Amino acid sequence: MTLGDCILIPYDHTAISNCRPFICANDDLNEFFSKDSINYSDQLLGKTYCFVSKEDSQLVVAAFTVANDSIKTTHLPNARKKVVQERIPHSKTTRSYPAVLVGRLGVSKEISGGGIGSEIMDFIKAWFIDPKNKTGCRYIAVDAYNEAIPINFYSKNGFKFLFSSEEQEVEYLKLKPTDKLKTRLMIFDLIILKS
Amino acid sequence: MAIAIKSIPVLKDKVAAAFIADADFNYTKKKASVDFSKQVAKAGKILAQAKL
Repeated sequence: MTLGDCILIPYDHTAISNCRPFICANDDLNEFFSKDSINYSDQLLGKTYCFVSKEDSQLVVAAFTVANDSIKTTHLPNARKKVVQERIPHSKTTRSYPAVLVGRLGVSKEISGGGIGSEIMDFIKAWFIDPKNKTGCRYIAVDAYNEAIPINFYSKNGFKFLFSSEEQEVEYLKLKPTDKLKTRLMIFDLIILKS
Repeated sequence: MAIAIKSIPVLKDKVAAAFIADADFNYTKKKASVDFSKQVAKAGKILAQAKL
């Protein structure tokens, strides 16, 4: 099966009641899509879409949740650091890069393994470089489960870790050094794509 | 409840500098270097049939 065999619809109360339960290979994803995704949508924190089969309209092939986000930076450029710190101690350079955060993405157990996950990533990338997109979007960010299969999947699709190490990410998230990092932030720079 | 979706923290100092350097490098050296026109055309067809 490919995305061409599917229809994109919102994953809302109607979709959930019209389709068979969406089951993918990860229990946390199943919990998210069966319960939490609607709450995210109700609070306008993230919107979930799904692909349903054209042949079997009750089959949810895949689902994903997206939210507006940004990558904000604040630092002093090295060349000016000393001078600025001496004269204006609190002056910093800040930048903000608009991004879309793919909070969760899951493929049905019935379908997985055929490359449809990569097709969905390509779709999301293409969606946000479309000239009709009404707002600018520089990066796709994903909050990937910190496990070999999802990390390898996103790496294969051109994503890089936002933080160079787990220790650095733990520090930024203000977790205890002994806490296990359940997810890793990864990014893809849309600037490299030519539409 | 499933694991909450993380938001992206503000990057500071060395991490911010490295990120900006990478973003600037991609803009100046790698902009539009990957032909994605087939994927864009395919996405257009999907969106044309979508029921959003």
